[in-house]
Amino acid sequence: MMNLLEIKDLHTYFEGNGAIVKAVDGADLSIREREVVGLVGESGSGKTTIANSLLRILPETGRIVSGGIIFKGINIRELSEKEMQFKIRGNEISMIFQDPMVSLNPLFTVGEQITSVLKLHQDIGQKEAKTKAIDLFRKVRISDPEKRFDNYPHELSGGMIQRVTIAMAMSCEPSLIIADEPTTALDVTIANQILNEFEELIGEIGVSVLWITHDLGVIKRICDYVNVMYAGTLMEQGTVKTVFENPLHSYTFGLLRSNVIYYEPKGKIPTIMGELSEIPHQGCKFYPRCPIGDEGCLQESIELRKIDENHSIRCIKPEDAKRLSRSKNHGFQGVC
Amino acid sequence: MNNRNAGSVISRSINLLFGDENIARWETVKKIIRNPNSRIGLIMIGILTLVGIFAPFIAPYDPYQQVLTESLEPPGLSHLFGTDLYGRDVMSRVIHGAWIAVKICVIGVGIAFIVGNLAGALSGYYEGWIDTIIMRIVDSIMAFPFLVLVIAIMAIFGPGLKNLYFAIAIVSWCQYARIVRSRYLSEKEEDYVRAAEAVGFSDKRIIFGHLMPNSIAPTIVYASLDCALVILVAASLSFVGVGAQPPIPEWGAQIAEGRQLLQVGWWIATFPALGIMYTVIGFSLIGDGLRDMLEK
Amino acid sequence: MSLERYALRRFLEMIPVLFIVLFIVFLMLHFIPGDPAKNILGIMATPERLEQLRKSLGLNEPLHKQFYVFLTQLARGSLGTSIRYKAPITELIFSRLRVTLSLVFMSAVFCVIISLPLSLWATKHRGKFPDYVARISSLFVFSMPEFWTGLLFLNIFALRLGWFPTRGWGSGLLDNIYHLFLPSFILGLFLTALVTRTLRSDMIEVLQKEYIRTARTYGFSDRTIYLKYVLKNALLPTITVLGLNLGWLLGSSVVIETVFSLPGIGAMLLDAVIVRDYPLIQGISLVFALAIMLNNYIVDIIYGLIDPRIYRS
Repeated sequence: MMNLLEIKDLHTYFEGNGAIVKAVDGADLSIREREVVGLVGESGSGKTTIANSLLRILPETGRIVSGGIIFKGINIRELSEKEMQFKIRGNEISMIFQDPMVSLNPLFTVGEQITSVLKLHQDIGQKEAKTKAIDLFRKVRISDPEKRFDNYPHELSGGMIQRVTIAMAMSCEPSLIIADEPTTALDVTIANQILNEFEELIGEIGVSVLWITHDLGVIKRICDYVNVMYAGTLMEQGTVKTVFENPLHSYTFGLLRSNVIYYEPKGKIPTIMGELSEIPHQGCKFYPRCPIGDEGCLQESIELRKIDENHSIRCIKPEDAKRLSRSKNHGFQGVC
Repeated sequence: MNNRNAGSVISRSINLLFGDENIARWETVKKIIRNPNSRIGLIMIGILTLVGIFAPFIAPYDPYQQVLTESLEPPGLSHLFGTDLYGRDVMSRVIHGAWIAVKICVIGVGIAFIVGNLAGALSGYYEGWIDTIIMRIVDSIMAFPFLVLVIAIMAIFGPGLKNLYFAIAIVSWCQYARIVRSRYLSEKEEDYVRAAEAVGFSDKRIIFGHLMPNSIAPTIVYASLDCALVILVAASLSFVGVGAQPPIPEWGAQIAEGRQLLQVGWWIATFPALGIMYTVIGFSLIGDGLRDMLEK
Repeated sequence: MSLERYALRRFLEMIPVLFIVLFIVFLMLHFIPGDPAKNILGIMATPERLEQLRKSLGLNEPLHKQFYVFLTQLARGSLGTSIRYKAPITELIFSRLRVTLSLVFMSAVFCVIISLPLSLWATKHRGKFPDYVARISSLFVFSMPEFWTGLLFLNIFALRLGWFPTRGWGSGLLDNIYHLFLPSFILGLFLTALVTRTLRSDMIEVLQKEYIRTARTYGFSDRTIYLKYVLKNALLPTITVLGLNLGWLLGSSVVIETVFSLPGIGAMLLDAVIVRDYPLIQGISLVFALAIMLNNYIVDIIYGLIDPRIYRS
């Protein structure tokens, strides 16, 4: 099966005040049709920048330096701005955002906002767009959709607005939906409810999803594949099953360990020491915080390599990591 | 007691305006100077103030001395800015005008600042009927166009510089009161105020020792912009003849004197106008710079 | 809450302010140091004339009774008689109000026509040359006293070049507009500087909002985003600045009408001040205050129309 989306060795940098920030520095990712792919990492690890690069909506200071983004066999970097606007954004690829309360314009009714998207990408009039929008609202289980159509965002609850943005994301039957931490800002019960409905919906309409999150629980629940990012670089990727059961990168391992769902804490919750900011210029970016690294890790740039069919890592000592995952003293100090 | 309070209000408000209370005072000054807007503005207003204070020593001639034989001389070596119809040196008159501008800001805006801060404090701290009365008065005064009310007040009390300071203060305290009141309403809910109340400090101590230092910053920013506006208002009033009266070298009055002579002696009105622009730009730059810092 | 109820509530809130405004206007006469009648007529006035004026101004009555008379007169639409013109003040004001209102309206139009494109242009190129041009020129315009700019333009464009009339307001609509062109341009300049500055910073703020990113991800072009979203979201602060500064416009109209010899109520106010026609000063001040209160009320309603959050929550 051909990949719907293929990102190869993407580098996106930001320039400002004479300094260069390498927000994405070597990311590889592929999504097949009808697949739900997770992208996980700490905040600031470049997850959202990947999404923005994909739609080419980077802020003025940012630019894609190198790498390929192939969507349905077309290189997105070679498309004109007009083609991006009319063919890709909202039409082929759409997006759901982190904070529903601020992602819709407060001065337009939700109906106006969804119909303006429909009218932009499809050759339909206001009346038809409205019928379609109300159908979509019904589909995402918005109660009383005709009435909600004329509401302003501030009159709806967070969960309700997130349903509106989901409806908007699906409005033009895209091939790919990027979900940028859509449940983080909601409270747990609502988040769960929306997650369930969303899972059902994507099965129903057969769309591919790139799910960006820092919540491993969500990844395990709805994704087929998972990609782990650290400091703008892709560290490990594979099917959810292999990566969760048999992590080969010490960062993935640490991430899993610090999550209480997968680890029964005895008094202290282990965390990964240090902060994201200390990054070596050469070699493995995780080295300063890695419990098993040695000088060899800093010698040369490390390539992403395939371990087996469904599993790749960017680490030269996978055997040590394996041993680490079995040992009791896992090398990550506990901090409460 | 009062003196100590006043001292702590000023030093703490400076600290609050420009950063953490622990930062030493020179650090504060450095911050103001580092902002290009407020740096240029402060230098401009500093020069204006010095020129105003030392006007009698700097000015080459007596601003009131009429030398009818030297009437309407264009700018040249003996009179850099030329002379007016009565042969008075325009440069000396503009330099003495700087002192009047400084006085308008210090007295007019100064009174408005103090009255507005006190009224806003009463209104915001006690709320209830005091608040209602003060704010309705503020609303009513602000329902008049600034210039119109000042003109009406000048009409009642008669023209002249002293009444001008007074009239400006009567109208412009309102904006300060509004700013302070809204700050108090939100600031009062903060823990440090509740703690002070719980300990049983007197109202006076809470207002002057706790609330005022924390709410004075925006009024200082407004004051610098207010100075710019007030300079324009004072000049307008003197221009139309209800402010400073000739032969006082107020800039607006000077422009009025040069008004009919624009074709034969452009310099008479132009140099005072440049004085006004200089002052207004200086104060706006300070205001912009301070606001930038406050918002950060 | 519905828009109607919001409008009604804002109206009721205005009533106490209106009452105090009336009281301030009423008191103007009583704040005159010494004997108002003597002040008006001068020291040379005969005792009979002084007594006559005191009687016609009602100065011999107790204060509360005077205020009552003032209010009942007002309710009948009378503001008293002008001392100088010997005519009913309401008639005097109405005959000249048109000039002042047209002047203010035209300068507001100038302000919008200039500041909207200018701030969009500065926002689009923020941090670059056009932005600096807009910012520095607005600082300079802000600092120029209006009467000085007025004199300058009058001398250059009217006296030297003869493109515009030097005084008066002409007859007929087109002639009026022609006469008001220079003065309203000058009057609008100051406000233009203020509005451009505010609009620029507000637009930049709006551009950083999350919903602009949403619009972009859904394929809306920059043009649509600027003209539909940024403009609508920045409209509210613009109306605020315009609305708040209408007072400044009205006040400055006094000065501009004097410079351009326009027969408006601002120029009439100055005449009244010079001849100490206090009843006329009271009347004109009241009309100015009423205009501003009405303006603030309309601004509040427009707010509600643009941003329903203001009254719906």
